[in-house]
Amino acid sequence: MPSSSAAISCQGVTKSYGANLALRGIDLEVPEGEVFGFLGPNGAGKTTLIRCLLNMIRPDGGNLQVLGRCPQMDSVAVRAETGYLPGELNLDTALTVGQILTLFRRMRGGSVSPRKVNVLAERLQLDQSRPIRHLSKGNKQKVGIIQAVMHEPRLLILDEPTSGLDPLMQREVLTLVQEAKARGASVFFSSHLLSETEEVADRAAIVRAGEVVVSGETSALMRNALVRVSVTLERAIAMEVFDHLPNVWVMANRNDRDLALQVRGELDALMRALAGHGVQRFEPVPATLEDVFLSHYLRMAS
Amino acid sequence: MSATFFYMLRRYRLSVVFWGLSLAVIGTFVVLMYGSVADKQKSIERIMKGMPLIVKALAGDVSQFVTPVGWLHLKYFFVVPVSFGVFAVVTGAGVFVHDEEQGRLDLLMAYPLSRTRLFLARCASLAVATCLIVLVAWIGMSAALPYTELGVSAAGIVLPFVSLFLLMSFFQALALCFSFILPSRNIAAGAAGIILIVSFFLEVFVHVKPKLMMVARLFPLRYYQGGMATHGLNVLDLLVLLVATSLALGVAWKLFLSRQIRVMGEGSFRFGGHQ
Repeated sequence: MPSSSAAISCQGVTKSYGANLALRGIDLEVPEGEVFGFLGPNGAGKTTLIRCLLNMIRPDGGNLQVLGRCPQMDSVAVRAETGYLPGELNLDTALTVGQILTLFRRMRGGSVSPRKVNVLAERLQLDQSRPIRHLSKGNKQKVGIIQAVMHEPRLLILDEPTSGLDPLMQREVLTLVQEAKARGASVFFSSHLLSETEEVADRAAIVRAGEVVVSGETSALMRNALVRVSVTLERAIAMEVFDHLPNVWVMANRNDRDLALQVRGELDALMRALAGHGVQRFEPVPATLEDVFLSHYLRMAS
Repeated sequence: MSATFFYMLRRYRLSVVFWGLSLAVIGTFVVLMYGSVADKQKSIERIMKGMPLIVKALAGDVSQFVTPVGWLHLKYFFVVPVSFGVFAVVTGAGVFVHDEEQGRLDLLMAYPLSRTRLFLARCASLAVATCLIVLVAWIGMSAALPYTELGVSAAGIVLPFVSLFLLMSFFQALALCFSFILPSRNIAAGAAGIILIVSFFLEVFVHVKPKLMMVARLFPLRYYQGGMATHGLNVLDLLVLLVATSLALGVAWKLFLSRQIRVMGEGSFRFGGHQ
């Protein structure tokens, strides 16, 4: 078996659909045993990359490795060690939950015990006697999650895993992700919900229009993010002052005294500019992954 | 591979019941009808003489009406491929593309089964389902045989049903092949259906316009023996159908190996933009 320290390795992966360039040279590395958040808005190329990883579509260029194997040349071996939850989950509505889970279990070659499936169904409060056609989106998503994790794969590829789930079940799914990590599995976690990615991901990459715009440790990304600062001044301040501060943006302004600002990097310059205007309140809000995401989008847009 | 095979077979179960019983009922009816026309050849010939060419062509060779084999061929085995062909082209075109258009193929293909084995499992389940339909149809017709003067045994009509199965298998393979080339399942089924209909009418008119034989030879129904196979299968015709079916399956397999699986909503050659 090929050995590699990377669960997923992409170098210069490109993919186009006719004139539409979906992936423009994606470079990323997902270390084994980590949860990797893959962030981006709809249409950014997240699902396209995932479908390349599982050999459903073939990249036009670049190099892909999944668990040390080429997914195009060795796709069966890759899929045997991978659990996949598609972003658009569609199940055979003629079956019941129990029947479809039995089918999925058998398609894994009988390596999963019925007991394991029952435990997961119970944990996610999923009634196996119900027909798929009567399930809500959230319950269908639970079926998708069970089939992805039931064989305890080395790599979990989850495309928007908490979509349609209520907050309690979202938490349960994030717990499953953490449990997978605890037993040494790698998790590739595609989402546009930054809060959950921030909670579970060791590393993250932000993708935009088929390109990775930033990637790294989640904590490091947040350190470099925009900081939101709420300020109340005793005396009004001229807005032109902020024009001379390159990393400060005024997001909201009331009477030139109550301001909401966004700052990248050090706050020293801002504090110097505010001095002399009677600072009554100065509240920096800790950055979230949302801020990282927005800061990169604002930068690209500007 | 067996999980996929039985899963697909389960999906065909209603088709097997519906098509099997329908063909069995028609077969029983045709067999039981024979007694009412067996001694009326002269009057049928007289009526047909005054009919337009197209009616004569559609009715077939009247002199064959009163022979048991001719009756079974003209009234059952020659016309059944047109209706049963609907099943063949729809199921053939849907072997993969139905699930693909429903957005279900992505998940099924994430399981550790090679594309070749997936292809074999799905094609085999369709072949078995078609075989079961033909079997039910044969049982239905066989059950009525002792009550007529046809003088044909149940064993005697096995080969015409074998011929029917082969023809349907060809159209399934053709529709499957088209489904990987044409934009949607419906268009693929339609294209294969058009070939079936053209082939049928060529066989109809070749009796009144022998010049059409050259064209008819390019179409599959020419190599379908139907009721005439009661006297034994023509090996050459059989081989032509077998080779054509294998060829269509081979091309379909190659196309599937290199296919970029579409996601739901993509119904054309050009992939729509998706994330």
